[in-house]
Amino acid sequence: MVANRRAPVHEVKGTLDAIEECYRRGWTDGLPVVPPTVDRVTEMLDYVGLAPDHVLGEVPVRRRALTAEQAAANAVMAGCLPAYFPVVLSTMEVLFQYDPNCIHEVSAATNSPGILILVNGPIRSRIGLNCTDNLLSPGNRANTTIGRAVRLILINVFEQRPGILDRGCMGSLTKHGVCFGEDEERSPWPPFHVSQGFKEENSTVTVATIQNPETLGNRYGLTSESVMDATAESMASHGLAHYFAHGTPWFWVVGHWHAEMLGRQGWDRPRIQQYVWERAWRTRAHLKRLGAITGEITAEDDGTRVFAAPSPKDIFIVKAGGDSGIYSELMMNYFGVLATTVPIREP
Amino acid sequence: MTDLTPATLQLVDPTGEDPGSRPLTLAPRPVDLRGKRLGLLDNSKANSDVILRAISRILNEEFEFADVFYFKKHSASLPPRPEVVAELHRHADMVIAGVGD
Repeated sequence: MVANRRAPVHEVKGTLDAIEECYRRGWTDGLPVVPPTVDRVTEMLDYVGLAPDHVLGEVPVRRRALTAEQAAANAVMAGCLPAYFPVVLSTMEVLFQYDPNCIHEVSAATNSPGILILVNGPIRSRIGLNCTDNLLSPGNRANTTIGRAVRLILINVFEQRPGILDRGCMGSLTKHGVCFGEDEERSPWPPFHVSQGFKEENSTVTVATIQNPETLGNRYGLTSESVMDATAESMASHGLAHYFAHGTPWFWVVGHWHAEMLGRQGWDRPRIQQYVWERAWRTRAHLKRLGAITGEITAEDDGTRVFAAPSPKDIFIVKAGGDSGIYSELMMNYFGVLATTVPIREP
Repeated sequence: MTDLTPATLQLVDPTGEDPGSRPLTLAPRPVDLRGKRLGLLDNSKANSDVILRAISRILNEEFEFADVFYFKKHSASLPPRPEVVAELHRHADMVIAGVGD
């Protein structure tokens, strides 16, 4: 492994010229970036108390490591404030600890997974993270720039450039970044991180590779069962995911009015997980006919159920989104990085 | 009087350090494939096994391999685990790695 040294410094005259210089050097994701000036990078590092050459992790198959300085420079370019940097760092920490090479994998994968960054706990309000309206849209600095910082690190530090080492076939909007907070305050259930064993007062990040989300539009059902049936149906057909051969975890980001009904009608997380899991399946024959699974159709395939999730606990229930309409979102957790929750290290 | 001289900015390079090229030494090639042990490394994509086994059958007609050792990676996008590489070294004189899908 190559030992990292301090990052070189380049001089540019003029702020607008510096923005163009970042384009010229190939440092951007296609959108303009904030020039990573020495003083802004230093401010980012000082906030978390890391030395510039502190190594955050290594990707062996890329023979590259990430220093705190490089992470900070990309966070500045993304538009992050220093207060967001702990979320960026904790996300990278999950990736490095999950598998040293998963950073390569998430970009090499042809199904173009994005990286979900789900935040719980008090840090949400401290950094102004959006948990409600327009949850997955542009418009909020923390949400947009945290995900962007992670993508810029992958592009700039690990050369996961589209068409070169990023081998995503159709690409994905999720690669712009999917970062949001759970709407804990208006949820009928305990916060997601509490269901994963953390204390409510902890701030945590849950990181998972995901496919493009699907909007769940059960707007006229009058029972929780109808809402859950609709979710199970969507899981069973979502993108004809061939991962059904062994199932995969899922995030059901339950929208406000779906959550309100489920809570009012007495459905807690474990009951929801069990109900949905039982109904989210297709026969093996059907999946083979649709080309989602390989092989000739055998006599027993019509009677063999392939479940979308390996078990009920693999369906993660998170409450978030606005209340202007009646929608939820479904996200498949591609097995590159299975959902992992860690505390956010704050200064 | 306002100074209109553009400020000089110092930009921290955000890119990773190129590990640089390093000389690769190729493993010595067998002079003759006849009677050798063939390894097949399936990258786990659909139909990798079909392609690799077909190649193995065709080559075997000419070279009559002493053994064919087949292994499937745990992931298409990750390198084989070190123990898998060790097994390939132990059981094969040469390896064909392949992708299907």
